[in-house]
Amino acid sequence: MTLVGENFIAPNREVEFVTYIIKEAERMFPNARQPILEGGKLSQYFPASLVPEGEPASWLWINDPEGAVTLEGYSYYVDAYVLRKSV
Amino acid sequence: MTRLFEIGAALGAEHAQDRERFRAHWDVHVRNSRRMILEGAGRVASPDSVTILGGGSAWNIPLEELARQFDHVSLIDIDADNLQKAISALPAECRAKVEIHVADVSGGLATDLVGRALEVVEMANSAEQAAGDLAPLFGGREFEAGGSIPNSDWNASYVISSCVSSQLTIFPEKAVMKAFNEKFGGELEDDFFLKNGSFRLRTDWVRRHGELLSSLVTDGGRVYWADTVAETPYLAEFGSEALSVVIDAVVRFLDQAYLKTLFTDAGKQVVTERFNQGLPGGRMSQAEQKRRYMRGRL
Repeated sequence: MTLVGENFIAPNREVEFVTYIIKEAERMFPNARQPILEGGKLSQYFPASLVPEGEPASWLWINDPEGAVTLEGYSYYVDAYVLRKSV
Repeated sequence: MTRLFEIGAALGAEHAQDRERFRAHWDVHVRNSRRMILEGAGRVASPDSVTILGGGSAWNIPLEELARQFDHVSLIDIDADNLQKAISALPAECRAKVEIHVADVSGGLATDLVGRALEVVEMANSAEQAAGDLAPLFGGREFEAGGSIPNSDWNASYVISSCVSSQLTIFPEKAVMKAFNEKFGGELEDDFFLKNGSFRLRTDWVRRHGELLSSLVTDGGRVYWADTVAETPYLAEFGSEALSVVIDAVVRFLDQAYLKTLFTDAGKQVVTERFNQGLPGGRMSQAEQKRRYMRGRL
């Protein structure tokens, strides 16, 4: 039992806690971040007919805090874009 | 197709449970997703229709706002239960604008792959033979299916795909694992798909998904495309060195935290019990001093 994800830590503080652990793990081990997509960026997969518009966004999604603290992964970096058809 | 829908429903139910359990952890993702989707919606000059691919129960989709802004909403997923939940949560005036399609959002790729893979399992005389024939199929080396052209009802001035494309290969993998297990009574190895090139297949399908999005959006329309691009912290196989780093990080965090508000009442009880377990006798060790210090702060 890892104490996280069990309502033993105040919810907002637990998010802060898990984020801290993830950042520390990545700081000490740069290869802690494993690509899901080759190249690690969604923009590499846009077809020529779609181009980005406005500011893209990226964020960390703590999908499973237990997986994060046991170093098994399950937290994800998300890329988000609004696209329009190229002329 | 049925097998794919069964897996979709099972994974959808798991996802819904995680959403409830980890609500606070998912909050950043939900808020950012909704904000970006609405930003894209605001850029659509003629908001006549929106198509949402793989939205499930729409927990990170601002469905009500979209239904108010657009004339028609198509919500498409392989998970019928969650689609129904999404609709049920809407006010009546919005519900009438939303149409659900229980369908494969990969454009037929997943359906084709599952069909071929299930045939392999069915025809194989042994687990070894099945695994041998499945390997190239899931590595993308023998899979050149073009999928099928989606229903033209999916064409829209706004097309949304949120964290779907990189997950598309998972459903066929799970469906085949289940069929394999049912027939041979043993499971494929945990890393069977990865070892056989599933990374390449996933990459290929994400590229195809981009082309599908482009084919669905009407002239002057917009696409919202978001997906997971990396997983972290992926260190379990690094063993004790990585674990030590994390334990040090935990100690540093706790050292600086105000523990009386960090833990819930249940948490304080559990932590106190752990501190009280099995402390060695004799001279007070550094670890014991730390435990007493922490216990005092609770």
